[in-house]
Amino acid sequence: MTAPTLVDYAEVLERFDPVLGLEVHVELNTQTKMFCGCPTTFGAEPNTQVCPVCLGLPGALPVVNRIGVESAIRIGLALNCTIAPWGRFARKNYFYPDMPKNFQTSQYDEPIATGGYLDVPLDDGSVFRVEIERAHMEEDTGKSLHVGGATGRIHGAEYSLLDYNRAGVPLIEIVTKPVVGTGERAPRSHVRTSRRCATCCAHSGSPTCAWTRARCAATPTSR
Amino acid sequence: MSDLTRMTAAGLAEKIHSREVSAVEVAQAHLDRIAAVDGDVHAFLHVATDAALASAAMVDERIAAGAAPASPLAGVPLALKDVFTTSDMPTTAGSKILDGWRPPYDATVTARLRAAGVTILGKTNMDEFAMGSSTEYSAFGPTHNPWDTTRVPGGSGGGSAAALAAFEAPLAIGTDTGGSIRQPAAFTGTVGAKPTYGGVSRYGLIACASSLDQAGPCARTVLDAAMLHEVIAGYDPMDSTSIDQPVPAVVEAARHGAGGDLSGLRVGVVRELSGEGYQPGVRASYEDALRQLEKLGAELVEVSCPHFEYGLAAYYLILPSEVSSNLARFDAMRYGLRVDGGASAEEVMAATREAGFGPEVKRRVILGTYALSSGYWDAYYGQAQKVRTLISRDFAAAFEQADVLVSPTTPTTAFPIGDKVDDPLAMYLNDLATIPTNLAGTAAMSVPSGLADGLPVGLQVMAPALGEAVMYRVAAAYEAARNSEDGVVIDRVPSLEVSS
Amino acid sequence: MSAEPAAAHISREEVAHLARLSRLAVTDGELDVFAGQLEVILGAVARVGEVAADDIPPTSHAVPLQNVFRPDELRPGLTQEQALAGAPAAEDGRFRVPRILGEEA
Repeated sequence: MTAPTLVDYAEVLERFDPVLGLEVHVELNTQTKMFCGCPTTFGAEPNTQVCPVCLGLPGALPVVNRIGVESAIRIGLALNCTIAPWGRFARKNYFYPDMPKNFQTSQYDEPIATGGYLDVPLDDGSVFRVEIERAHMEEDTGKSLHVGGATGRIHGAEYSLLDYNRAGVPLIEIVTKPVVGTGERAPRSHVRTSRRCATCCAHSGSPTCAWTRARCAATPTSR
Repeated sequence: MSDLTRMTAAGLAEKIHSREVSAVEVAQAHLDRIAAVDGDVHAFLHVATDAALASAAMVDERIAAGAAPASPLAGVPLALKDVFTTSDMPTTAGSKILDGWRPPYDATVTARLRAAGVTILGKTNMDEFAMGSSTEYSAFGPTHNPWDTTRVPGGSGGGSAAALAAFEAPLAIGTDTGGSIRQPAAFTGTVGAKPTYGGVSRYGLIACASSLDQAGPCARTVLDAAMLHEVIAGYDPMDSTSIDQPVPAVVEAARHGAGGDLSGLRVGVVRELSGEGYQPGVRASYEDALRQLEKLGAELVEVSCPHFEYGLAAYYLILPSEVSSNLARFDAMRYGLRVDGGASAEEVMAATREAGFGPEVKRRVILGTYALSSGYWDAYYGQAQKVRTLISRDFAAAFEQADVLVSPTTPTTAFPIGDKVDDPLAMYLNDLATIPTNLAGTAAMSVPSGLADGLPVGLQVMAPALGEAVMYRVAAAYEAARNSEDGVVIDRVPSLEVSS
Repeated sequence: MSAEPAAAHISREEVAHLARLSRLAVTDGELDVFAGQLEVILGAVARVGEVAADDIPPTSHAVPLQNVFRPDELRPGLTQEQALAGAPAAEDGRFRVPRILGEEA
């Protein structure tokens, strides 16, 4: 194995064309969680906005929030997507302590919205069109607090403390197609894209979304 | 006064509501009976003496105050399978991984029983997470069949069925994923019904396989089962698979059926569930049953359900797949057992699940993980779901020709404890005749059908989705005919008191 | 033709891998027993492959229901005390769990 060498940013842009795939998570601004009647408001004392359903207690069953689905449809329309005439939730099975059931109720091969686009205005006045692959509904996980160790991060922690107030909060995950040709504008354009996604959601005519709570993960590759 | 524990639920309710006897006396008589015989039977995992007496006292107060009883079963004692959450009792699902867990909420079935004034005596033993056909896979030791305590009472609801046969309770609740109500009913000479999928709420029922699980009533008579059916059934907004339609009028149907006239009714004899592999005594009883039904005026029609023979295979792919996902939540993080098996959460999870789950649960979790893995999904889980469609179509075609279908409930009578515990496949074969109903989401029940070699046999009556009324009608007619011909089967169960 | 499993064979190593995925710290003795039993069970359930079902739609739930929704209305949940009552360990109103390694498979 050879040791990685650091390359200057300008040189990178010269040598590579960045390809970005964005996954933007936007919280649907519902009163209650996706599958139960617990509140979604921020800042409550830990584990005070939970019930048997979002705690994943044995025997509890989910019932989907109508407004959550409606909001997701509105967002899909605002993103110029095709809305699926039929869909259902799937279980994404993996073990992780912040996930009460050890599966995430999400959409897999039948997302609510597919194949749209979003026009993102950039600082130089140009407009960049981002193609939307899909948007699907899912539930948020709980929040871990890592205790001990120097950094308060997961690595080096002695133990963790879990608060499930967030568990089950409805999210829509917007997945873009690979974004090509942004060149040096890449970092800005992807921030813009995610913000634009969020504002677009906010203006979708639904009581939906708090864009300040949008989260974004970019998967950069280059070619 | 006659022994209160030998009475039917309908009879007890009448006496309690007319103040001939108090609900507290009735509860106490059953608690005494449990104290006397449950050492030998082990039907109960938890007996809620104080709560039962308090609940009964409230029923008495209400009646004394001149108010109408909360339901036709107010004051009647019941044994609840330990798979329903109860906020005032432990809930284990027969597993060590939940030993000592006290749920912070009541299942919908629990809540309905309470609202109906039914006296919950305690929680009954079961195969761990309802996986098994003998109650031997309970983490808390097997239940013994009151007919012969060296034999199993069936499973997974062996505790509920044994409680009825041992006269510890006149009513019980079971759950049926592949036969867990009907097979124990057959093995103990009692009645058990699996309602249409969605007929009874699953909220608070600890899931085995969500697309197959269904709660239902258990009793010693068809009428008692029907009365309990009406108490627990009906729409529940907390279960999105709950059917938002009126509950079939099963009590009326059972009373009507007891009149003994089935003329004009077509009874389908399922060719694939009538022949090979059945114990000779079971076959003889079945042939008797068919003659009886004919005598009652029913027209027998032979029907063929060619895909039923694949039901067992499809079931043992679908069930473990759902189980592996449903049981992932038992991870030592939020409730239940935690075994100190290492420094990390991951290690503690694996050590706890290893220590907390029994062998049958582990087998099925592993099998399910396999069937759901990407390389095998199409060949196993995907294909099983298609077979499921074909089985539903078989039922639909059969119900074109017949109003109900019948078969023996089980291929054999109760087998000795220890006989099949290490041979999973032999154990699975018990569910051959009961599984198709779960796959199709239709209704079925088991009704006593005499004895074979001194042990009870069950007749299975199957009906279309929401066809419970005709099912209870046929079962009640058959029960009445059998009783008048050779007496009440359950009256022949050995007395257990001498041995305790 | 339907996708029929070539042979229902499951090795001891495969069972060990599946057990790891299922978060089961099975013992060597169990691996031996389970591998044999699972092979027998798989041999039996592989029969589903004998059914020609290419054009048959799958059934996930026997009773088809659609558009079952809940109104977006608050329902009383649990108190913090109730939520934590069954916890093996708790601290500061939170569930206390051993350190998380962070691998997800």
